[in-house]
Amino acid sequence: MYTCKEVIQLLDLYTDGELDEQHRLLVGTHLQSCDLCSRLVRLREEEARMIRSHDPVPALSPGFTRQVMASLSPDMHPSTRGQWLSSLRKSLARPWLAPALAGLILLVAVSYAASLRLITTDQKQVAFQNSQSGLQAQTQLALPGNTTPETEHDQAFNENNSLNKQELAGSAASKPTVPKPPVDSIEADRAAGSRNIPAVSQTARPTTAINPKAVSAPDAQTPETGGTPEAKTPAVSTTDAKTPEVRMMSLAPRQNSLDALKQQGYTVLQPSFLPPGYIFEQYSLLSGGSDESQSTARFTGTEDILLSYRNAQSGALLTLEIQTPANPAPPSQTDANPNAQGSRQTGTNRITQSLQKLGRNFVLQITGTIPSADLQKVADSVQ
Amino acid sequence: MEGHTPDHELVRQTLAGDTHAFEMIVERHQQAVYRILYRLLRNKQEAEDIAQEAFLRCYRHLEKYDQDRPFAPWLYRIATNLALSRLRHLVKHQSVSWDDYDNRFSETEETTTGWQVGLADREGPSRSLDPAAAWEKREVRSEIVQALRSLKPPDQLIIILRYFEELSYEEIAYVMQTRRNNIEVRLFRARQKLRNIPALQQEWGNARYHGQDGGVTVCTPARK
Repeated sequence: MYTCKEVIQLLDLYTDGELDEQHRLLVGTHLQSCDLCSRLVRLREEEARMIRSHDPVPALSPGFTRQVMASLSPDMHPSTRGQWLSSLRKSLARPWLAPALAGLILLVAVSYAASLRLITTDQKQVAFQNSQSGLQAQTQLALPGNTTPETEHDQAFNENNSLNKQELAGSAASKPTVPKPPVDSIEADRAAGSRNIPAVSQTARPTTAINPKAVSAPDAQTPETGGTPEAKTPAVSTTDAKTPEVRMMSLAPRQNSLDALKQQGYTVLQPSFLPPGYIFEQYSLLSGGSDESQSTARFTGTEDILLSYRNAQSGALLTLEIQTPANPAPPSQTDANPNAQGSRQTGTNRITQSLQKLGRNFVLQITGTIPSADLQKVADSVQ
Repeated sequence: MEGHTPDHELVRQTLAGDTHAFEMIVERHQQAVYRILYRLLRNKQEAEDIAQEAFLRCYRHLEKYDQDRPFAPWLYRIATNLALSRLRHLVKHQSVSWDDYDNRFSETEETTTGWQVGLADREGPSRSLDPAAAWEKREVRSEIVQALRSLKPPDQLIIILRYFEELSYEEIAYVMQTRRNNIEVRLFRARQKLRNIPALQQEWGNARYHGQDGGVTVCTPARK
């Protein structure tokens, strides 16, 4: 049997009728034998009656029902809505519908993503055509006959080409706004009567990074003073170089591309030292090496070679512009007499250095975001 | 005859397109809905407007009603959700605290003098009290109403549904979309607050010290 304390704790539930049968009987048994607890129950009931009787409510306005019914409109009818909803539920309940919808959404997403990449490629191509219209050079996709979206390498290559021009323009700190496609038309250039440019086969970029030493000429050797670049005295300084006219930008991120260039009689000078992480990316042939705005160590040839190296991790670019003689001569070893001077720009350093080989003067212009000392090392290692 | 038609049957007829059946639903439940809303909002016009909106929503979403459950709690849920949202809006946009909203959103005493007391039958012979008793009754009424207003609206709603509409804990939990245990705890706390008012304390005082040993906790059951 419950004690009074236990019953009092259950009184609210008892008077509310919320006790289960067993507890209700136990409390009821106690109340039959306890006058005080019985009085407490009566007081609880009186309390409820007082609350109810002392909070009256003003009467509802007459015509409430009429107002509600007048507010109902036919389109609110639940049966119509219910039929529509039930039909929708039935159609959604088909077991094959969910996978089909998921597949459709996936297909649309993939198509949309692919179209975005194609549009981006087209925009780059149009931008390049616009910028190069004066050169009468037809542009084409980097991979001839390949109409698929650009690979990641191609996109990076496009950016690199733009960066080359930006670097040469002396504004390497700013990102290129309109990247140019890595294309050029060798045939168009030939038809224009320009220099006979070797056709470079378009092959996929090797997965392994190209070691500059590996692609350097077989007769290339480390210069005697290459290990102590600091001992060299820079002698040639340049102001901001005017952007050379890009006559041809050949896709050459391939192992034998420089070899092919050498076979055409070009003297290709390459550095034996590169900062850590930098690998050879491409070369470009530039015209207008005798630009009058160049420094005193101006090269008088007609073709320049622009070698690009990129840090695979940071994406930083290092360019080496070699102004070559007009008449190609077989490469040979000569002593380098570098005269270099670094000029610091905002975030970009440039070193212009003269080099004498085979009795000819070359001008090396190295641009990169690495410290001038490292640039000097690279310049000194060119052979 | 109409009064004997169960709610779920009227709902079925309404879903079948019989607007007269829905009219019967409105007639049947409008007073209860209005009472709940008025006691929450303490404003006749607001209570009527929200009651009307509640019936319109009920009509629009009638197909969602689970006919295995009682109809009234489902309707109360719609109405009280609207009312609580309205109160939250007032608290938010009038910088009224949740506890003090009733002071700015309540009718004056004068507007309540003309009440047509809907609970007259419950009051019974108290309406024929002499002036002194009437004054005392009015004081008690004021105390009880103030005590109710001092509760937070959800707690008020629990008291309203329990005392005035006599819903079970389970039904209150359904209206308020919570668990029964939660209702039990909150109702206990709300009652504790209400029992602090003098009008009810006096009654309790009589009871508490009515025992032989001066307290109910030492009350012992009568010997067999």
